[in-house]
Amino acid sequence: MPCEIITLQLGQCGNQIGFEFWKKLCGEHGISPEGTLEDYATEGTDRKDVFFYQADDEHYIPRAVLLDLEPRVIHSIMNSPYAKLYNPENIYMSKQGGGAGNNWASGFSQGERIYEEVFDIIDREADGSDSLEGFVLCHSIAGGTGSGLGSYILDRLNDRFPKKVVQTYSVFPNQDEISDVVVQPYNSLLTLKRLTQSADCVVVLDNTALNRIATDRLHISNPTFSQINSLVSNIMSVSTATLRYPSYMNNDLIGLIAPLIPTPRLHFLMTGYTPLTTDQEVASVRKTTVLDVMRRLLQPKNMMVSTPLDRNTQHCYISILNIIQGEVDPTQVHKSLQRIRERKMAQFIPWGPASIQVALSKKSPYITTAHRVSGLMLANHTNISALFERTLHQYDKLRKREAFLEQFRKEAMFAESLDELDSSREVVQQLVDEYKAATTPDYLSWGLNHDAAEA
Amino acid sequence: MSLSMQGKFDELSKELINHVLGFEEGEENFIRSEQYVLSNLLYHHCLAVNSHNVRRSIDGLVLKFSIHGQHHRSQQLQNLTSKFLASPFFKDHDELDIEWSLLSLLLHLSNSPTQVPVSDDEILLTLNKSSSPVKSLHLAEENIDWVAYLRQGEPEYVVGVEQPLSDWSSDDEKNETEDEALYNQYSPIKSSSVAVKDTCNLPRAPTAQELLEQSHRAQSWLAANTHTQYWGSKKYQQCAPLSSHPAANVAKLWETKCGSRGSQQLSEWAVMRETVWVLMCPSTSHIFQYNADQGFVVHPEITIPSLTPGAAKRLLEELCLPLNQLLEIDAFLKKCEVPSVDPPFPVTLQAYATGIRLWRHRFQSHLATIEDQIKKQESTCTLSWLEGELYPWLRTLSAIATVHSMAAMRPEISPREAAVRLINGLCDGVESAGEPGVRCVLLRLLLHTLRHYLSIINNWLLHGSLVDHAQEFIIQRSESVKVTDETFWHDAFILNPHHQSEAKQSRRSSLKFLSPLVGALTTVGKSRELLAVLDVEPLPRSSAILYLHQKSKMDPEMVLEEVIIRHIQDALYGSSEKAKENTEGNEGVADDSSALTEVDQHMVSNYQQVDPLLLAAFIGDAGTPASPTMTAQKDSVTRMIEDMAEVPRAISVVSLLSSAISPLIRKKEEELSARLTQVLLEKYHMDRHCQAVRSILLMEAGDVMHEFYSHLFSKIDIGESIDGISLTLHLQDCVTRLVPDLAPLFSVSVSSASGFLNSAEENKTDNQSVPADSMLGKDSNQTKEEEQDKNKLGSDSTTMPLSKAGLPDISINYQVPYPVNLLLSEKVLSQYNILFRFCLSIKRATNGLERLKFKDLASWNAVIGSGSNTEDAAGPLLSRLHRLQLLRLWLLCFTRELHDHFANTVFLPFHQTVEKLFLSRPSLNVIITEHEKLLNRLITNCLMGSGKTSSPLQIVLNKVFWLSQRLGQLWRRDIGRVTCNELSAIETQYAQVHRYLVNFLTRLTTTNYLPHLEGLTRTLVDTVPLLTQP
Repeated sequence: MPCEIITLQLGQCGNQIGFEFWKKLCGEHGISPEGTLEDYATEGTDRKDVFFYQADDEHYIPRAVLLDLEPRVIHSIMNSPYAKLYNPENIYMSKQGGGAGNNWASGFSQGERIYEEVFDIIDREADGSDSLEGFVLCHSIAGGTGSGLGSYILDRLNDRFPKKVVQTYSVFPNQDEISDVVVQPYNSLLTLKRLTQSADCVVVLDNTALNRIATDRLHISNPTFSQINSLVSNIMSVSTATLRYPSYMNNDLIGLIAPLIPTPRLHFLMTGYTPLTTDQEVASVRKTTVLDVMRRLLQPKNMMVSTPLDRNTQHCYISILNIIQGEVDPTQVHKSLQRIRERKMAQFIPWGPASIQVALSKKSPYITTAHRVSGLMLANHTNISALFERTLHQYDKLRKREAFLEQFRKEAMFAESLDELDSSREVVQQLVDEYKAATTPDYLSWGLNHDAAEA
Repeated sequence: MSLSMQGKFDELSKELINHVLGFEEGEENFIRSEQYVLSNLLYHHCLAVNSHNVRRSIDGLVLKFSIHGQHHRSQQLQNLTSKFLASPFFKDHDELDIEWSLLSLLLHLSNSPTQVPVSDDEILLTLNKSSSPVKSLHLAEENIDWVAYLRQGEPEYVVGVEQPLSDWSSDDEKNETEDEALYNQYSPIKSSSVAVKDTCNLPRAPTAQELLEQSHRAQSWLAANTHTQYWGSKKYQQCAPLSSHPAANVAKLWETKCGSRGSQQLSEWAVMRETVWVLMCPSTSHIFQYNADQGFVVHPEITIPSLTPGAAKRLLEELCLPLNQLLEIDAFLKKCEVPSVDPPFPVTLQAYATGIRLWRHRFQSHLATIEDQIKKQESTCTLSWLEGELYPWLRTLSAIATVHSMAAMRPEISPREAAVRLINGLCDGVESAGEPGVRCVLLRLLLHTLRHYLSIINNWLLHGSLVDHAQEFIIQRSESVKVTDETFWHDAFILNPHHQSEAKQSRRSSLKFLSPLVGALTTVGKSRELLAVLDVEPLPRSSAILYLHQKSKMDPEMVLEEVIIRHIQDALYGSSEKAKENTEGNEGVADDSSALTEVDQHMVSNYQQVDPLLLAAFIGDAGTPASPTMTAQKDSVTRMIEDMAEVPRAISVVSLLSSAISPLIRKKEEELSARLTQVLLEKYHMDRHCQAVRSILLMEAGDVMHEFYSHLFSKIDIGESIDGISLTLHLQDCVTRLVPDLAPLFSVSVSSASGFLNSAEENKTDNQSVPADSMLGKDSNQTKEEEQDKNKLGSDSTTMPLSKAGLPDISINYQVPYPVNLLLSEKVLSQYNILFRFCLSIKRATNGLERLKFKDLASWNAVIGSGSNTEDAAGPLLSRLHRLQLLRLWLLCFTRELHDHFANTVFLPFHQTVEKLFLSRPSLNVIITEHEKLLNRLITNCLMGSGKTSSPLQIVLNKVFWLSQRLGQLWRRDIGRVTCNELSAIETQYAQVHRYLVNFLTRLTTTNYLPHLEGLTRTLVDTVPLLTQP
């Protein structure tokens, strides 16, 4: 089977969005919570084998590895109707069960300890696939397990599977509720370093933006995790739709993300989705056309990343991939693209090709939606650096006061020095710098200028 | 016969009377009855038969039979008689001469009992005694015998008979005279006894005066009924008119005046009769003489008493042309009676001949009535009257002859052309005919002629077989194309078997009314044949019939011919009832056709009264056309055609026929097409095969093909040799996941054409073909380096010849199962393969670039590892790395742009249109043509249509592929060794390629209307690279 993708769900957040993701996939492919094919699922044009494999008794089993250092979320999954879906051997819960305590260092060092066991699972899963394309990692960057263990696993994946693509769905913390985990900036910074260096592509899921969208756009006063996660799972499923519904184009993960990423480090993608609906608002009166969808996708309010307006820098798109689903007239696509270009709806980098790719994808025949056309945008935008800058800013604030560092010092990694934090800060700073540099035409000779600046 | 028997007779007769009648002796009735019995017994000459007489009569009969040619009968009579006489039954019979008595009885019985000419015979015989001595001798003998016999018997009787008998005898005689007729009828035997008595009463015979009167009557009858022979003999017998009126003797007066002599005067009656005869059977006669050079000519010296020779000649000469025409037509008819087998005689011509023959029959029966009228002499019949009678017929004849001159089967034209020419000629004839009668006759003729065509069509429509032995139908089945051939649909039926050189002629030879329907007809035929071969029940018969039924409210069993004739009738005369009224109304008018039917009816009724058998024979003869193959049903059609009344106004026969046939054919076409489509789609899954081909060759099944081409590319990239077999296996393996049952039908063939061996050189020339190249002088170093690289690449792939796009000459074959290959023919598949290679080359370029991962960038890790500490080394290195990465982005975006463009605006619409096409379930015709059209458009849209020379787009793709290859080399090489020059070279080359394509597309979109390319052009213009370094 070509292009299989193994999903790794890490920590509380990772497992929660992973759970939603699988729920979504099952629905789209007509797979029951027990893993059997529903009677109505007769279309057969979809490719289930990218994310599922079939056991001997024809049951579909997700290529998913569930990892957590505390059993709460996984237990709740195992008590849900989807309990039988997963391969129980792929579920790893730390025997201590204490979790990482929102501590990156703890997660990271626990990772070292459970390395053998975790990679036994991953290896077995990788061996079980014909031609593994890569891994998808679901985690949050602010907590303990997702960030710490995630970082560790990212590093190890790079060593173990250097040829495989590693994509992450990384949940960035909600800035409005920063008080929950005060050490968020430390965790985020340390994770960002790994994401920058070891991941091929990071899809940024910004909790701040997601919550705002839920409250402002969807009018949910107190959005629950599951509501937010259904948004997330929607993004995840659409972004993999082209892999699951084969067509002339974009049949592998690398083909999907390669044109989006110009240089190794500029691989943080933001997402946008339209039309946004929840269950309460199914009956929409909106008329959806390709142009309409593509225009909406370019509006900042539909972006799922909370990026403050930066007046100093002319932020711009590096590249855009629109995945359009539904009843699409292909001729409309080019008309829409032309209009977008003519009206300069999107500001593009001055040094590279203004590439707006459009991937038309089939929709699941088993799920009825209120909209004829829907679209997901995966965009590489320099504005994303604002998130990193914010992290740097918060980190600097904490670091200045040497706050909450005790927890880190407990772990061997930070026992002697906090160099790791410094190096992480440097990497993230470089990332921000590169994003900023990418907004100018000078980026062509960025290496030279950079050197000059360094010198 | 002795007296001793008298008593016995008495006894027996008494018993008989008692037994039969129940009278008792002594009753008056009894006495009468006894007298009757005895008289019959005693005086009947059967009892005293003259054996010589009887033998003579029988011999006479035998002779008579043999003279009358009834040898068989005479033989039989003789045999029977001799056998009868020799019968052992009569030997030692106590009745003497009983055999002769019986024979005599039989002989008398065999005569008409009411018409025994006893007395007259006797009279004549006595009268002619002297003239025939032999006969008289016999008669004398006979007489003597009779008399002697009678006299012999009488005394005996007198002697032995008592009183009452003599009384009875006188009574009897009295009775007889009173009721002679009764007796004659009642008993022939009695009458002969009467005859015997008559001979005895000679004074009663007719007088001489009576005889004279009789003979005079006979003579005058004879004179009135005898024709003097005016023909043949050299000496003309002049026919003197009875009238002495000068007008009746113009010829005589003319002769005496001019002094010329020698012209034969014939009675007008004779001339009329001869005219009628010669029209009935055009052959040389006294008046009309035939010679081979001039045809018919009028005998130069003939006139009728009331006309001068010149006037008579002119009058009669007018008949010569019709006679010639008749002769020609008759000759044609005769020829048609014995149609040649090799080459087969066109049935259309035969049908035409049948039509003509029917007309000829009408004409002849009309002539027969005219002759009757002339013969009866009940009304005044003159030549001018005859001329008037014949005029409409002769007009028709000339019209027919005009058409016929075209119909004549000449050896140099094919049966088909002959048939077409004939039908077209008839159509023209009908349309140009001025008189209703002529039009009607020609229309009938046309309909007769068309019958074969129609029956071919009918057969074809209903039974699916194109039966056309004589190869005369407008459409012909090409024998070389089998139904299982993939070209069947295109080539199975030939409309025009002529060569190109005869194009002009063949255009003329197409049927006017059928030509618009030829497409539909062939579709029906092909569908039929295909369905038959596919072993599928064609439409349930009822539906077609139902249609006909609805359409024409007629008998469902009707065949096409009938339907069409009805249609034409309806069109011409309104509804059929109206037509009937019309004909009835027309009967009063003296037009030929209705008059004819009247005459026919008259004749029919006459004969029906006289002799039903004769009538039956007559009708049978008239009703049965010459061709014995015609069925009874067809006969009804013939009658229908013949019953058509005249056409009052000019008609367009072509449109009439078209409108009659087309709904039937169209309907049939629709039905059959729908059925065929249904069968092809449902039973043979044509759409599924088509989809499979699209999925694989057009890479719609992206996942499957992705697996296939990644495997292929990786093999090529590492320089492994590829072969068709392993690729086939791999492809089948991939396809199995998609369509397991169709996977074995796919195979890959890789041709190792030598043309690809020196791909490097070709690629070099390719560089020149990019115009932008020539603008920038190339750095010689750079070129050298490039060549080295190419050589390196070339050496990598020495095992496998690759094309400029870095691809082997690969094609995917699909073994299309039988009925589906009508759509997916070899030609179509080869087109698909062109597209496949195009897709593959796009994928190749894209795929290569996508595989360039940052992790693989050789020096990346070193840079990362060294971090920013190794500033000196990282300086230019970082910049070069960066440029390399950006170059990758540019190239990748460029190729993705192309890739996405073709995927979204070219391949996807094609996919959708084809799916829609199949969903709408059109006829196979539409499927094939539309599919072909779409495919062609697809090829054009991919800019691949320009044939052998590779299109600019292909050049660009090749170029981009080589750039990406070089980029890949640099990517994997130690970045420290990559010079800025190298990078700049690739960058400029890429920029040139990009601009080249932009220029090309801009030119294309400004000169042509290519909406699908405008978006691409716009995008490419927007993304013209800015890579050139300051």
